[in-house]
Amino acid sequence: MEIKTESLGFSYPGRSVLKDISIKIKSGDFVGITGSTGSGKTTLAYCLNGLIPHAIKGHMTGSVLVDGKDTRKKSMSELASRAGFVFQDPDWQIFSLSVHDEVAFGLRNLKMKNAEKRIKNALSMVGLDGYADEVPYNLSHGQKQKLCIASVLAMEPDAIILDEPTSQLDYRSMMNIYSILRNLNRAGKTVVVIEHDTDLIAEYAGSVIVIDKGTVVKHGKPSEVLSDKKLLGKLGIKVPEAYR
Amino acid sequence: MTAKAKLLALLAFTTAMLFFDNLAVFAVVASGLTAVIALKGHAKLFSSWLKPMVFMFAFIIAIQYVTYPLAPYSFGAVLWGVTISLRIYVIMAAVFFFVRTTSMSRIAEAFSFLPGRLPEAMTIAIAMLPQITELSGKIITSQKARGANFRSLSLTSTYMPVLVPLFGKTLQRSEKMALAMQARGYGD
Ligand SMILES: Nc1ncnc2c1ncn2[C@@H]1O[C@H](COP(=O)(O)OP(=O)(O)OP(=O)(O)O)[C@@H](O)[C@H]1O
Ligand SMILES: [Mg+2]
Repeated sequence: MEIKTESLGFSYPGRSVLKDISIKIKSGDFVGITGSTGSGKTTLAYCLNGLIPHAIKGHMTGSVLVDGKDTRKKSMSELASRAGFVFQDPDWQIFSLSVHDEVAFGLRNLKMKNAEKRIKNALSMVGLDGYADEVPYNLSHGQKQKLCIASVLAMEPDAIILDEPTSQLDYRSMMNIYSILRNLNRAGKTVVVIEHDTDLIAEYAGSVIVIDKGTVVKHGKPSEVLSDKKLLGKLGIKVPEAYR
Repeated sequence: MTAKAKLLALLAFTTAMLFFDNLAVFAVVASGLTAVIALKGHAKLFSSWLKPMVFMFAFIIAIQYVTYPLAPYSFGAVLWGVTISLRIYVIMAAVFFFVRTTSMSRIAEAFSFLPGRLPEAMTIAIAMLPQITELSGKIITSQKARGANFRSLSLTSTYMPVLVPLFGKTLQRSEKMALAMQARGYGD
């Protein structure tokens, strides 16, 4: 699935956040989005899957095209099945009393067939087989994060967008999540991940978008973008080990 | 018992409790419910629900002590505070019991007679209860770490530092949760 933005701009009521963003994410890409706190990464991600303008108040200018079609002209549920979204904090999205029900939620909304089979597959893709009857509340943070990924995967979207999926995880769980993402990407899914840790982007992503104050300052291969010490220094972004 | 019957029983029970104001009745019902919860092996979880409420109860009793219209600053005023607190306790215990013995999808089904999006709203509200209790525990701990003293009961120095972040966070969380639901195709 290709996602393209054309001079995209967005303001929350009374606060302009994104300005003139034109990027193209090709089908099968593994894209990392990085930038300092408050630069607009989450807001951009909301635009990519249609939460903006469908579910969030504010003023959007320009356009976002998913496979050539304007997100404004598609319904949120249609977009939800194309690009899944994993929020930063799993406690924001988990509300069911069992792991199974949590994964079933999206399927029920979209009236998808073979629900039980999809749920089983999704849970096994993230290594949560055997957890279907657990209470999500009792899972570890990493397992909750995996559950959120599974609940998106069950809907079999073409793309999956994750907002800082590893920001509260230890090193091992972090690697674990990224190897899941790599496997998904190799299976053909487009992966867009907001990530502060440039080492992870350097290792896993095929391209990187650097955002500052609501605009894209650089978009390209990690080896080109993340080796620009001068730029990264100016923006307060860590130069990855690999390019020091 | 079907989920709907359970829900009706819960509603009837809650209504009845709102009409009673007899300390003895509450004491008997409270001990009964507590015993059942403990026997079912939910004592630990229930006490985690209760912990943040302890402050609430203390607060209610303190307020009643001062403002009880019949006889402020009397033993009777304290008893009245205890009565009101026990009423809340009893209702909480009943809700806890309902939630622990009914699966989420059954709860949603039980609410299905409500119009529009209310069934989901009710379900999420119930699902968020444990999160909210956990959150209030965290907030209390972190305020204690900054020297908050929950033994002296005062609105500004004790309750604001807990209630403000608790309501703020809960509101924020339910907003985000609504967003997360829409991102999974809920609502249209
Ligand atoms: N709902 C909202 N209403 C108003 N302003 C908002 C809202 N959400 C975010 N903002 C503001 O928009 C700007 C960009 O926020 P955004 O969350 O997109 O940044 P971010 O790059 O994801 O930051 P972080 O790394 O901290 O997650 C910030 O200045 C933020 O305060
Ligand atoms: Mg963000």
